Amino acid sequence: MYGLVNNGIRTFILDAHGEETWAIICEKASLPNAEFENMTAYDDADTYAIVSAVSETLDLPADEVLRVFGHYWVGFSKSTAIGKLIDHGAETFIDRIRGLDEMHERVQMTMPHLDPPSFEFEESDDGNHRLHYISGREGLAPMVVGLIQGMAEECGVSVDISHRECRSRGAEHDIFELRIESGAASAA
Amino acid sequence: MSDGPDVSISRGNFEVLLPFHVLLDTKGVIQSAGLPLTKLLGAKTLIGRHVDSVLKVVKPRNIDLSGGARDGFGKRLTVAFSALGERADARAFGMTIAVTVVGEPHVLLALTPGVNARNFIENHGLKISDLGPSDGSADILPLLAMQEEMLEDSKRKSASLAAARDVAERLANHDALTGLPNRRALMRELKRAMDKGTVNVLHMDLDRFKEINDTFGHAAGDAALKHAAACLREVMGDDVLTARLGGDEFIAALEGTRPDAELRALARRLVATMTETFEFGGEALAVGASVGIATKTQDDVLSAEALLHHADLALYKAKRLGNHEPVICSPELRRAQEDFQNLSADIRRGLVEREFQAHFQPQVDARTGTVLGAEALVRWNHPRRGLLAPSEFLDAAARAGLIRQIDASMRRSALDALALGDSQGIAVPKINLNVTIGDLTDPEFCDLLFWELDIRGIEASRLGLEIVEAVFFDENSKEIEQACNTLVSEGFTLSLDDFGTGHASALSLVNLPLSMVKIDRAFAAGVANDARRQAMARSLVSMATTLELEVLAEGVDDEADVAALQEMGCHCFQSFHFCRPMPREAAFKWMSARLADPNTLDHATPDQEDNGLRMA
Repeated sequence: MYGLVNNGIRTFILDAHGEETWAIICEKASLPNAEFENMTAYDDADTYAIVSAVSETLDLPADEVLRVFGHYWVGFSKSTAIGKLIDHGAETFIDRIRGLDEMHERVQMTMPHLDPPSFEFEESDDGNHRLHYISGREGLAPMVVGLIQGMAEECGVSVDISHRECRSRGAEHDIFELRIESGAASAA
Repeated sequence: MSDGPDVSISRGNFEVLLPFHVLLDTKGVIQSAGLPLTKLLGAKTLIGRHVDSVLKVVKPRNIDLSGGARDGFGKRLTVAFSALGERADARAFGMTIAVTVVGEPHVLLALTPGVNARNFIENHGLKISDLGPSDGSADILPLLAMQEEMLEDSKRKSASLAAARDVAERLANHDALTGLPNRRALMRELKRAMDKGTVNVLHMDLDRFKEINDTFGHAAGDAALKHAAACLREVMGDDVLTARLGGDEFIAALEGTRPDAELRALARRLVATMTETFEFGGEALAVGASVGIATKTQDDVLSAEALLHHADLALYKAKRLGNHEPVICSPELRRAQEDFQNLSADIRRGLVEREFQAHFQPQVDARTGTVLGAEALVRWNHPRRGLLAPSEFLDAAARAGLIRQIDASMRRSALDALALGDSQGIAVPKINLNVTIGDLTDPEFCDLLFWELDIRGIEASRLGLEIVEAVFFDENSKEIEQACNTLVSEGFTLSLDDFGTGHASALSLVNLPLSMVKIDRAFAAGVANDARRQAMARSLVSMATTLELEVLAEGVDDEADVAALQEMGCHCFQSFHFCRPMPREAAFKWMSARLADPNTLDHATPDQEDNGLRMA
């Protein structure tokens, strides 16, 4: 996992719970005084250990931790040069979803060792759009839900998310169905 | 010349291919511009205006677009838009191409934002879709973003490494507790100062530091060290190199020639400041200090380590004097140190060569002439200097930490003698050995004695242990009492040596399982003719006999003294009057004869030892 994600979790905990809690989490994750460089690849096990330690420390299910963090990441990423790419030229919610994919695609081209995920968006005339989340990592789908919610909130739309296909239940990859309930979804 | 056909392109496709174009007529007037540029600069700013008023070629400098821009054909240009200012990230890049528009020659300025695309998007309101899909500007964006992230990563890493380096450097050169430079930094700075000229070193060591540590705990010890560091800084000021050498030792190094009187005065002021109380846990505590001083003049050939060693010698002497007066290292002091080093090396050699041997002075009961036993006394049979008395080497041995080795060597020699006597049919009743406080507090001492007796087949009851009275003044008396009880329960007998001269309380006579007290020669010698000695000796004898302890007098050289002491109730003696200390053979021969018939020998004794004995 690239350090930007780990740093997002770190910043989230520092912002919401303070240094002491972060120190406890690092201790539990066996990563004392953990700090990360944004564009360096870290062992995925570190990320899973941090999520697990956050879950234990805050007494929240791991899925909920990931969802909350995904939501937080939308704002956090704006403070980073790479995160800003998502918003470049994006005016609508759908622009942003596409920006998310483009950003990851470009990271993939330049730094393939970071093994970034892919987000393919299929716009549908009936309003039941599909987002294909393809990742080499398991268990992070709840974070995608948080990301979508965070981006929708930023764009002032309400979106209904259904997790139609789930990799953890044998599907090839995760598929979310997004139904935009209100606000301007696309520049169309 | 072209091998292919002429190409005609629709306006729409042209816009898609070159969104950042500017089309000029041959006089340099702008005929049209791409949509993003129009969005960026405004149509009124562009169309119909001369190109010079809208943009200028920044690079190469010699390109002039006003004359139809022919000299720019085929070259890479960097242009700045007047409306956007001279900022480098507001420039665009491109080239001029000759084109034909509706049969008329024109000049096409084909531009791209290139690496400045991000600035045009973030600061000038363009969108990614405004960038030409074929010119690659959009693809530069993530590269730049990642580069920026990596630069930030690198900056953070550098800052964190720099901070870690600063911390490591500080830790490596400073003492964490007091904040003073440590030994490493001291040696470096001292060498630097010594290269420049004369340096005077004040070496300070705390007095009673161990006591504070033991009594109030290590936190109090730390407070004492901080107090010492603060005093050192206060007295020496900021211009003097000060350092903590380690433990409770501190250094101040003063550069330049200074009279001894000034150095002494400074050291006295330091000691006086040090002895002021400091607070710890609501209590006012105090430590003392001793200071040794040494100087290296510009002409001296002396290393920093040697200079510190000289100061240490002076400090050692100041400590021994114990009067808080600073001592300056002198040639005499250095010579004495050399002597000490030679002597301690010689003692170590002597130990290896088994030159430390037991001599024996018999103890007799004057009433019957019976031999009670003998005290084993250490002698150094030196191959060059002859037979040496303890006064010649014990101080140096104590300072070099060799007393226990000498005791062990002497004990082996004494027990070997006893075993040999037994094998020769000379059954000396008992050998008495002196024991130190270190022996008594050593939990393995008793086992060691047993082992040494066992391998020689000697009963514990034939070994008497003489304890110097002064040891009881120590605060470990409980521990000593326990050790004495253990030794007696194992069959050894205990005597109290030098009775009357030490600091033992009368209570220790009651508490300890003693068999005998030995009255020191200070009270016994000349007792017959000295009323005050008589009174004192009588009291000592009375005290011991009341407690049913045997009493033995040492150092009685006169028949009248023997008689006087016997009249008081003291009948046992160990003195020149009866027998001097002798080597094993002579002593055993003397004892053998007396053991066979206590009345056969008068008091005249062989004098072998004194013939060659060197006393300090």
